Amino acid sequence: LKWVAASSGALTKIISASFSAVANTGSTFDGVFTTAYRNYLVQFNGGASADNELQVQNRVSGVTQSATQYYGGRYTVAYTGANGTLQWSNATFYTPMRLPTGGVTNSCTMTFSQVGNGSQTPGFYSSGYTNAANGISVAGGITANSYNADGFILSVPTGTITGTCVVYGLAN
Amino acid sequence: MKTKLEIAAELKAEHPTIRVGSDEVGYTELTPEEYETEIAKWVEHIYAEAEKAEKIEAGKASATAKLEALGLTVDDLKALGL
Repeated sequence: LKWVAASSGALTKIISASFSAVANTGSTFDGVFTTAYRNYLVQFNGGASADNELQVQNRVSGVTQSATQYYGGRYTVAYTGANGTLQWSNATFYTPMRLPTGGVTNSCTMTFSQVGNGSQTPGFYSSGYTNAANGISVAGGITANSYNADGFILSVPTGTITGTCVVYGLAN
Repeated sequence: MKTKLEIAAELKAEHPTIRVGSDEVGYTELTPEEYETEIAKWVEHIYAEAEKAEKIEAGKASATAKLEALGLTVDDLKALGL
C-alpha cells in the first residue's frame, strides 16, 4: 500500500506533541489557538499510569485557568454494558473520558471553539474510546468565565499520562 | 482503607520524581515543594475516591441484607423490572 501526498486542504496541523510519564503537558499547547481559525480539532492518543479521568483546562498566556468555571457533562457506555453519566457544574476542569491504567492506544478527539480571538466563553466537545472496559464517551461543555484562551493543558488527577496530541486548525 | 500516609508513601515510591512538559517544549522536574504539593493533591483524590467506593459498598451490603430479611434476591427485583 502506498499513501498519496495530500494536497493542501482545510485542515492545518499546528503542533504534534509527544509526552511520556508527565503529571501534565505544561506549556506544550500554549499559543496554539489564534485568530487564524474559529475551531480547532485536537487528537489525543494516550494512557495513564492509573485508572483516571483525563482532565482538560484552558490556558491564557501560559496560565492554567483552574478557577471554578467549567460546566458540562459526559455520557459513557462501558464495554461491560454499564451506562453512566457525569455532570460537572462550576468545576475546575473538563473531564472528557476516563483512561484505563497503562497503554497508549486510547483515543480522544476534542473540538475547541470560541478560543484564540478575544474574550469569549471557550467551548469544548469530545468523543473517545478506551482499549479497556472503561468504554466510549461523549462529552461537552463551556466555561462560565470569559477570556482569550490561547491554549490548553492535559492532566490526570493522580499519576501521569503518556501519549501524543496533535492540534489542527479548521479553516473558517 | 489505606491511610493518607500509606497512600503518600506508595505514591512517592512509585513516583520518586514528577515532571511536566513534552518532547517538544522539554520536560521540567517539579521542585521539592511542588512535588510535595502534587503528591498531596493525588493523595486527597485517591482517598476521596476510596471513601466514595467504601460508602457505595456499604450501601449495597445494607440493601442486600434488607432484601434477604424479606426473603428476596437481586434476581427477584430484576424479575420485577427494577
